[in-house]
Amino acid sequence: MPVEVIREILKRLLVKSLVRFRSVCKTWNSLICDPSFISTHLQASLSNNTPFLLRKCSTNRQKSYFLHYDNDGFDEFKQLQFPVSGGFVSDAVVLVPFVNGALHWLGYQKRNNDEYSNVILGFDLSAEEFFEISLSESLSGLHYMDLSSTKKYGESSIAVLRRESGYTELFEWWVMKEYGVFESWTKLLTLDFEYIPRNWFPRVLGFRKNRQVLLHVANGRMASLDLNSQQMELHGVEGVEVVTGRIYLEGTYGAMPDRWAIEAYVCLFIMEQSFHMARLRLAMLAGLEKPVVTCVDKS
Amino acid sequence: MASTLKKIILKSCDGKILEVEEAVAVQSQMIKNMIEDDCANEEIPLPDITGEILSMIIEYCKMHVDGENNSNNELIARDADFITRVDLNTLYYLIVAANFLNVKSLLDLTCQRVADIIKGKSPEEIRLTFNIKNDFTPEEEEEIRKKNAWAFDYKD
Repeated sequence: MPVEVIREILKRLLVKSLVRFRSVCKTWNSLICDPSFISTHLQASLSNNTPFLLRKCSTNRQKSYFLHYDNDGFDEFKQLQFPVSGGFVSDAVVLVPFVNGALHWLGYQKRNNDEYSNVILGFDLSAEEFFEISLSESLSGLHYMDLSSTKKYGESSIAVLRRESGYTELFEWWVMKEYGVFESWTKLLTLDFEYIPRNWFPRVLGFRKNRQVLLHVANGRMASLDLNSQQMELHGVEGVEVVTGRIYLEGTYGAMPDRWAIEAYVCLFIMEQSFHMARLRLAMLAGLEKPVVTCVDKS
Repeated sequence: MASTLKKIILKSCDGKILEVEEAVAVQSQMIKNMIEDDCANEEIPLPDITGEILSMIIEYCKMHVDGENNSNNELIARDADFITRVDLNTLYYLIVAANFLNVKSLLDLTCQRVADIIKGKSPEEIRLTFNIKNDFTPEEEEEIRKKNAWAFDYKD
């Protein structure tokens, strides 16, 4: 078979298959490892599919991280080696915002005075390199799940949610108006929520391309929830650690008003073991307007 | 300006002669270039393509020209119907021919089909499928497998 034809076929395979096929023969090995092939393959896979999920596996005290695609099988994109150990915490499954050709995580960094401060870690998909983005000083004690992407300002950028827990839940929505420009961190929105019970399950990871809500239900297991039929389906992909916390997410869903920016905060209360949905509460924040709260009670 | 009713004559390696409408033939970028360069007035010999494969390719191109006004979903369904009728051996010849004739949509379709067939296979199964000789020494193969052990944890 001509080499260019093999290339055409290999270009369409996921990284995991490619890595396995390196041991087919020397020709395939050098084709797969060729820098120009890697670059072509990356472009092809980015054009229709971007990894969106980071999964952590802990076995024998060893932590490994894997990136997954948003498709039916949650196919694996690749394994990640973080440049620092322990400094960038992420739990069993995390949704990773894709902005400006890079995936982003919220992590912690130890400062001189033994205090920890937040930092955003980016992973440039074409260069396969990590880089850091600094946060505004008033943004500390952030939860790793509270980072998201935003399309509010023409060019995509990143945003974080700062929360203060107490009798009420206070949320602040901060956006880096110009991606990568430290001075452009801006507080856009402050929200008071009524009391939200602790230890609630599950966590919303985000919207999938098929408009289902991706949930982390328990012990690293994931489920997709169809908001129209209210049916939930469990997936085989799982991490091994229990996640605590909630996520602020961005997405457009179904018949929501056609606004250029709609951030949706979806709260789902699901009975822990049975995965039976008891109550769905959807609060939509359209731009800077007052949140619209819709309650859907199934019981 | 070339008339749309103009016929292009193609000759397969086993001597089969096929007359194709220009609108269908120009689905092949190679033939399109030849027509633009005024080199397609006589029969075009295709040394590596059999009559059977050539007929299939023309069937495919005709389907796309006729279906120009159909919805995208209809075309996808027709493509799927076309490609699932093809066995792996024929697929191989189709890919080589689509690559030579530069019919991009057919090359996409056939390569994607092969990728879907092989994605869950082991390296041994790949060698069997494509009749590839393993030219690694056992040590070299062991080394590569060890480095990439994570990729061998898979389900078909």
